[in-house]
Amino acid sequence: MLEVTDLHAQVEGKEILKGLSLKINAGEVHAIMGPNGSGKSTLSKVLAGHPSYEVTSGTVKYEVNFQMQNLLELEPDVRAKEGIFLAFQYPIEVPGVSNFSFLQTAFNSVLQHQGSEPMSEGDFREFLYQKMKIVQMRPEYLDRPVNVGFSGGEKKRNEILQMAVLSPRLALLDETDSGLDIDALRIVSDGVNKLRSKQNAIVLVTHYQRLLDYIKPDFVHVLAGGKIIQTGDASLALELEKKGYDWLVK
Amino acid sequence: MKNMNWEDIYLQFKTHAPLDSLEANRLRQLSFERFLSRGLPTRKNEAWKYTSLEKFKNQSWSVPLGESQEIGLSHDQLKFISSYLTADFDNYVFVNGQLNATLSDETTGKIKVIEVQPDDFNSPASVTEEGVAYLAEAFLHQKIQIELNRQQVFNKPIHILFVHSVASLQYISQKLQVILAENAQLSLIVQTVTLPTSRLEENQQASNLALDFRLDPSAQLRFVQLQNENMNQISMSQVHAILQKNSIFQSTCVSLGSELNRNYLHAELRGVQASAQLFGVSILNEAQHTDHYTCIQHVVGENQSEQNYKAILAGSAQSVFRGRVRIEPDAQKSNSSQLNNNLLLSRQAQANSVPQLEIFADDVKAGHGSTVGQLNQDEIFYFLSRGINANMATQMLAMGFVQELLYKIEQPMLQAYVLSAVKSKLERMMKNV
Repeated sequence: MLEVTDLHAQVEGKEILKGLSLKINAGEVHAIMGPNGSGKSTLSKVLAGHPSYEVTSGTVKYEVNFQMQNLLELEPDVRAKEGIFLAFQYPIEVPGVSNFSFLQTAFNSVLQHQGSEPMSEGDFREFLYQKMKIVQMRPEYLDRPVNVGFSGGEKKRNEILQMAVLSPRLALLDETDSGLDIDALRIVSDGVNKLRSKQNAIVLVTHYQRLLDYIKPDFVHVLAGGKIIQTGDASLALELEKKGYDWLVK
Repeated sequence: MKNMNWEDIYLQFKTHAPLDSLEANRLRQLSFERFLSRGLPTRKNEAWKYTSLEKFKNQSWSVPLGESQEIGLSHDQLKFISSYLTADFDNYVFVNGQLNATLSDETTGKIKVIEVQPDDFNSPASVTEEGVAYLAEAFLHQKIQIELNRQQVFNKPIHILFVHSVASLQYISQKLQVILAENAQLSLIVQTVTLPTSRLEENQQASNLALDFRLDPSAQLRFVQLQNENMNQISMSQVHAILQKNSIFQSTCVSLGSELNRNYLHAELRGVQASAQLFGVSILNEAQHTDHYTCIQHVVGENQSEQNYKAILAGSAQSVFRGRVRIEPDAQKSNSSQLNNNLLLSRQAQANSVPQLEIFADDVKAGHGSTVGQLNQDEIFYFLSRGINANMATQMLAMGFVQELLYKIEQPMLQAYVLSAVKSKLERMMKNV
């Protein structure tokens, strides 16, 4: 579904990714771990198409209509409509736009891209109530401006709600566990687990092994110095928890 | 001011539209002479620094001449006008200054159209506007009057729709007077539209609207002034509102774009616990220009004024906000706030903001602030990352920027009407970006 080959990317003239390669298939959950400043967040932002990040070399291929296509040529909103979803580490507050109209516009944009009719407000509200149960969110959050006045945990739950509504093929969760207490972590993880399927893939960018107790990864990658330096299964995360990164980063 | 044209058309006008009252005739003549001697303001005048009337000055205007001209409207024109009408309001349609009975709802005495009286020629409230205000007075024949008795409340908002045709270069003065007795309540929307022409005419239309509002104790007036988008339009208005104790005057002035739009608003708080809430929303693109000049005068104390004006500017559009707050020596414990926030969607757009606080009392609260900013790129990316394209994201964020002011329109039908007008302007505007 996604094939990243020898990717180099920079932000504000500083090279962060220095030859990163990664292959992800449908149905897989990948965890990307690594020390601070290793490029974990950069990877997800480059894949989502953040304008501040510039790809200097390498390729990213993504499956669109059963064909591998150059992802980097697609506008960020088109990437989203083609099923790429970035759960933000710091979700953006948007005063003046209600959570409901944000979600409905996003959902209908995707439908329109797929050539379907937009969903009516009433039908979408019904649909949304079902999705909100996944992250245990109360209906009154819908009429509030996007993320404004939300606690850290509520913002992260709102990200997972957006993910549930858009049902992406490739979800990139950028430190979704950071700033969450145990209860919120459990709710968010349960939400993500309910959205796991054979058709979609999930990439968890995280500092801590703790998240992986809740969401079992198929692969764990260690990202350091802008490259993936080690790949293993879930046991690698446990090993990192015990030994830290030093034994890998020489 | 040397303009033979004005003298010619005034002569023609007064012959066609004589007034029954000799005194009114005399005063109207006087207003015209004052207009000629004062002339129109120029940019040398500080209050007109950013807004030029040159274009208005240099046109050879004509004036629609009284009742003698019944305007024939085509089917398409009737359809166009009807699209602005709604069963949620009591609609009164004036075509080139004349009440159109076919398009208007039954007048059950809610509004009156009567000849102007001597006291309609009260000298202008502000020296900065006098040229424009004298011009408005000089070409008045009738006025629209809405008068509510004590405790009287109408079940629907009153909608005054001024329709202008641009078959020729046309100048129109209008006057609307609202008198609310104690505890009366009124929701009122006034808007101006111009008939589309089938031919490729570039003819202009200018309107000059005098609005006179009197609020007796505890009266409430909720007023919306909606200037619809039209590049062939020069529109000027002067609001003069007098607020007695405990009265509430809420004004929402929505400008959707014209070649030139100047709105002067003078609110006099003459009673304690009176409240003036003045809001403005301008959404401009291309070379559109809107100028809001407010003058809030706290004559006595223990009352409140709030001003909040916002503009969204694209293309080479320009907005001007000049907010004058005058707190008189006796107006202790007045509370006044003023905000002007501008959102620029292009590099060529320009927002000018000039607060002008004149405070002569010492125990008052008076705050002001203004900002000029652009859309937040992080917010845009957040929308993009959810599949919402940049155009739609801009539209939603722009709407989010102004809608808090539109939500303050309490009457739900009125709010919905204005929201939809603003939304459709934003949609049209973003199509051309």
